[in-house]
Amino acid sequence: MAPILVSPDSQEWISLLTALLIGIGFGFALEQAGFSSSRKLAGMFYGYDTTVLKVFFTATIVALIGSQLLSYFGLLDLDMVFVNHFYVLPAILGGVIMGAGFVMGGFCPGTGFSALSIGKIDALFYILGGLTGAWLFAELYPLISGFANSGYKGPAKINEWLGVSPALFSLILIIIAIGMFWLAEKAEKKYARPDITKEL
Amino acid sequence: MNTRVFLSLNLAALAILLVVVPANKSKKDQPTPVQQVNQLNSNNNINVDLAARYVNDSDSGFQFIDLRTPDEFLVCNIPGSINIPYEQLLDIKWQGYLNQTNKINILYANGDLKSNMALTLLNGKGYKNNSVLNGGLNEWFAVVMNTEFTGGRLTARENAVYENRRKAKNLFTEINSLPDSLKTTFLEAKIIEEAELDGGCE
Amino acid sequence: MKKIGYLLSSVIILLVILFIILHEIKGDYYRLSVEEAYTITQNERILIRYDALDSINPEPLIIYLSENPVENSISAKNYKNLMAKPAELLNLKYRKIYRHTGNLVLWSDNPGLSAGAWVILNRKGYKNIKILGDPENETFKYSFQPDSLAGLK
Repeated sequence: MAPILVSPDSQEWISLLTALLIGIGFGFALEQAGFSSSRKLAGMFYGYDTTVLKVFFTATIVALIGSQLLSYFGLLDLDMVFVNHFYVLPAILGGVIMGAGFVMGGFCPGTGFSALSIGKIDALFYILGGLTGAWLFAELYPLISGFANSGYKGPAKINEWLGVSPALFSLILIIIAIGMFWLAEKAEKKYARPDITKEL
Repeated sequence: MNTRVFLSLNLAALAILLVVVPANKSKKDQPTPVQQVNQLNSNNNINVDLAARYVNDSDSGFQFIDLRTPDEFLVCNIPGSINIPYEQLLDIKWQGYLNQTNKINILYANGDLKSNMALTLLNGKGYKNNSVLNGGLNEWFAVVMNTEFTGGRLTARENAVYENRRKAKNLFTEINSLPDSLKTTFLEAKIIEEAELDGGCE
Repeated sequence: MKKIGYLLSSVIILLVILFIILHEIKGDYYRLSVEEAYTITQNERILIRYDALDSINPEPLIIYLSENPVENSISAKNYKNLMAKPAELLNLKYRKIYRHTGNLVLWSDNPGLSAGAWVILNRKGYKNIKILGDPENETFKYSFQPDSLAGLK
């Protein structure tokens, strides 16, 4: 098992410490990559700055290859990794709401906190809005639980759905990613805007 | 070369490597192939005479597990057995019996094949305390059920072996001659009782 | 700076390849899970009679499993054969042989040993393995005679 295993048996402070360390690393990387600027995220939508796509897609495929190599060497049990449960329509609706929020606010929850830490006021209101939304969802849950639980597919995986091995799926995804990077760079050239790096 | 192109190629190369190497299905808490191959030797199998003694003593340290079909099981089975058909071996409801530390399970089927495959599979899952009845029920019938007093003088040792087999044979016949309904009731009661002893099965 | 990056990622890939080679040589891991192997045991005919060996194509390799491998009548006769101690079954030299052989037939004086070895080799990813034995032994050869007086005792 990988060194950052947080098992139900281990003591609580170990789990909390692990979470803290990973969180610090993640926040630091986000800030350093310039994600505390709302223009980065909005730029993805308008096509003039595709850093978000490149960074997160790269992170995804690196983690994908890394976890499968660890599994091959017997250091990580992939069956123990939690797979989010899939609800078809709720996932689509939730994705639309989230995406709209990201474009309008210019943050995702992670980058929102990253921006708040360097004192951005818009980030403060973004996070307050997010928390309000979560509270509203919790309060209204009895009314919408029928929809929220519809189309349940269990912990579904794309490679199982396609009937290919996880390794082959990784390869396909990496080829797709490389194609996306190439397209993204083209889009950046096409929709280029004046360099704003110095203002940030 | 552009750094991005270089890194993309690196990632693609790693992915191709992953496609080429086989998946590793070993688990941390399960024995590795080499450990299992070494286990093949440790002869913890139980021969029918020993099994007959456990039956006669109704030794609670041992649990006979019949891997045959329910129909075969109902016709006759070693007294005290529970029926876990091979087709249901890995069903969640039986795992409490197969993965435990209280007693030694003795798996048997008609011959040797199924019971030994089941044993190796269960060992592979990391379950302990399972063993196999050598020769299965065929061997039991050949040795215990066909035992006859041939007359003549027996040494004390031969006599003990003969007595043991004869007692087990009588017990086997007596219990398996009960009407089917009684046998089923007895078995259900046994399974419920075991579940309670385990402190409830979740 | 750029050069160091190139060098570093090349080294990482080379290291990964090296580790994979070492891991494959050691080979102490399963390619099939217990559940997958269990499904195969339910669907496949595993036992094969001695007189059916000729029908296997290509010619099978017979592996005689024994603690004290000695010449034995079956394997010595007409077929390619190999004598192995059970504990050495997964040694590198044997694994190479399995990989280059189409069909394997396991045989042992102790039928339980070959059944166990069958499961392990299957989980290791080797296909087309049979066990030399009589399928009759897996059916119930006797019939139970209930004693109608037993209930009265």
